[in-house]
Amino acid sequence: MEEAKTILSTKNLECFFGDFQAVKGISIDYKEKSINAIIGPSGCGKSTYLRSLNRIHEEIPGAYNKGEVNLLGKNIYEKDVDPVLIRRNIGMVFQKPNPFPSLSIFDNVVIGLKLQGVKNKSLLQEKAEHSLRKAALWDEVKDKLNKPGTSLSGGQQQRLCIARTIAVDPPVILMDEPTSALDPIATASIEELMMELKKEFCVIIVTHNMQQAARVADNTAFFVLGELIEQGASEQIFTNPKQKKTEDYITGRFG
Amino acid sequence: MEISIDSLKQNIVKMGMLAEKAIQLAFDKSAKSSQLYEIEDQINSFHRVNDDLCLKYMALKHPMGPDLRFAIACVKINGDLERIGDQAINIKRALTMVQEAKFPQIHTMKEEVGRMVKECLDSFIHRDTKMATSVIHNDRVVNDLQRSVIKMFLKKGQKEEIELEEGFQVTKIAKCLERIGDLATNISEDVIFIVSGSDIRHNPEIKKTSQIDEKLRLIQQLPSDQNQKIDMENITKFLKKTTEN
Amino acid sequence: MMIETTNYYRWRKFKNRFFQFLLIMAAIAVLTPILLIVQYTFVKGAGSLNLDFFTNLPKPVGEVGGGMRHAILGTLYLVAIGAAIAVPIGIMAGIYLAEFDKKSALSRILSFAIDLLTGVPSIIVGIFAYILLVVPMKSFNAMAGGVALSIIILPIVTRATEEILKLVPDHIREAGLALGIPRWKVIFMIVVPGSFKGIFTGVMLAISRAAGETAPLLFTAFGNMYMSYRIDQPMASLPVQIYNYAISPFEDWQRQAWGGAFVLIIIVLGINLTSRAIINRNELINFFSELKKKLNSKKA
Repeated sequence: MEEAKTILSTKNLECFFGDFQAVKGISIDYKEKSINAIIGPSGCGKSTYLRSLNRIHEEIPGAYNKGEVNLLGKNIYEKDVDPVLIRRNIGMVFQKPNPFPSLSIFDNVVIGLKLQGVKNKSLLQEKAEHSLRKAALWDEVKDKLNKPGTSLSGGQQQRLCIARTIAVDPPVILMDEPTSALDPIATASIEELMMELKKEFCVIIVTHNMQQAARVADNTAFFVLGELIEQGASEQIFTNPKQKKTEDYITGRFG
Repeated sequence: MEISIDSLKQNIVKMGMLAEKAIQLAFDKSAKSSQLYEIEDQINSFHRVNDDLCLKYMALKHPMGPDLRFAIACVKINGDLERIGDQAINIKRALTMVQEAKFPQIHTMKEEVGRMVKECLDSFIHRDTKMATSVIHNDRVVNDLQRSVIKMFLKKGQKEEIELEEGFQVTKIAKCLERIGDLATNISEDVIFIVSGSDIRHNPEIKKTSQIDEKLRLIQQLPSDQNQKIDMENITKFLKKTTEN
Repeated sequence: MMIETTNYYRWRKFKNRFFQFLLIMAAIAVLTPILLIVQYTFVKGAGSLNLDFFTNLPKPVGEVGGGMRHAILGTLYLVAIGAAIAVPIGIMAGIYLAEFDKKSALSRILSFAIDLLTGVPSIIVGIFAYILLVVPMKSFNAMAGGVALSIIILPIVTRATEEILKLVPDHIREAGLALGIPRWKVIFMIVVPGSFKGIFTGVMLAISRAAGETAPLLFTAFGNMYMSYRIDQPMASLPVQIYNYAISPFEDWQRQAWGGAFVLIIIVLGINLTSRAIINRNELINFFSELKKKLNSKKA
């Protein structure tokens, strides 16, 4: 069997808010077509780390990064790299479902493409249907594509956001606690969707729900206070972790 | 009953003590069968309670890592302890037709197996993998002892030096004791799994050590018609003597 | 655990009801002035409204049929100039305050300046426009009036835009950025269009406020008894015209002043209500169709 390609890797990635260092030198490799989870107690820097992968972190005034993040071999933090282009290759789904207000469902899905300059109507139609199908939302919305994005239920809105993200075909998708604002049934449908997405994309998800990481992720990394304590295959992390801190966390005796 | 690791552990320990008691009662001629059956009832009741408790613990507490390994191992140890109880009953029944004094190998086996059961439970309580490993190694001794009992029975039976019926019951008792030894070995393997996460079953390499080999060789050397207690203490003294020379 | 006695419960109920009553009284107190004003000006002024009023220019005292056409048009004209200057600048300033580093020196200074500007007395605004435009041009002119009104409109639009945009949660912006959309496009094509209703309301409020300002126009546009469309000449406006007629000794003019006041109130209220109707047109349509249904079902 072919060895899976490494699509994204961090090397000593550090993240700062002004003087405060939130993430201390983390290096992880991410393979294509896999789901990778990051778990850890609140405030351990997992979201900050994730947001540094698509250079959203630096949009906060005073925030910056050190170290390397290599997307298909090229370091996205090099001086001449345009963050906007990077973000077209590394998509992100947020905790609170956030369809753009005042835009219809159809417009929401294609807005990424439109604002990149794609004008061909039939191409947009095609892309919209394709993305909505992949997000398991097409059947539910095909008759009401003109309704506002906010008219859907929470779980549907989140799937709309996922459709919007995958419409621009990023090889990597980041998810920051994508189901914490959803009820259990909506959560289950999103997790099912993730298992489908894994066939095509590299997904990196931050979650504070250990069971979710155990359910969906192939690999799990455990952070505490900005440091990587342990990472590996989920089957190993959750049955026989090598570090005591990891063990304490997953058995609930800490954090 | 509280659903937690501690209560699981306590239940297994109590059940283990009952299993030890059952073996002791099985060999105690003065003890009535009814006493043994009472212990067996308690063991069976624990068998059901423990499985149920493990199930609830796993459903409600979502244990991970070492806690999960512990819960799964408890289910298995639970089953093994229950079978030890069954074997004790079988021994009691067979023993009614046997005069134990005539068969010193049974005494030796009883001592070995009794120690294995005690040690496997101790290793469970104290998470002692060294002790668990020594129990696993010792299983070969018990297996060999059982083979020697059968050899003895066949030899003496042919020569009509013993009553067939009695001899046959003796082989049954040896078989039961050997099974108890296996069960204690299983429990020890589970203890190693709990503590280290490694599954060492069916691995012949691990079961060898030079000391055990030495022990076995000496057992095989001793003449089978020796009306002598094959005492581990004697063998150790013998070992010491040979190494001193 | 004590079980409440009925007495304590009754006392608590009474307190609740009493407080509710106070609040209702306060609401009525707020409504009263506007109702009284509209009613009073209607009573006093509606009688003066006839076709002449809207189509004619002022006639000398004593002659019948004078009107305020020039003042009505003048108000619209001056407010349009003011809005044309202030609305684009105000919206952009509001966007800057809401979207960019709030701790930067420019942001803080701008925010403070806007607050100050809201507090400047409107007569001072007029004097400023006088010095700026009337003196160099050596005559009162409509442009100065328009500029004075723009200074009134500007801070209102800026603040309203800023507050509305601040209501848009940050993760919407981040979602836009995360799609690889440049920041300016995120602001102008996602955030601002999404807040359009709120910004429109803010602009309408500012405009209706400016339409009623008198003091800044006193020495800028000054007023004119004749129709004028030129920005370098004085121009009439409703508030100034009302003022001039009201302080005159002529009864006919005073009567017309009341008429003008009523028209001004209608214009201001009209702008407000129309803008709300446009924004909430969907709800309006629903409301009326429900009403229709109810009436039909009652008939049947």
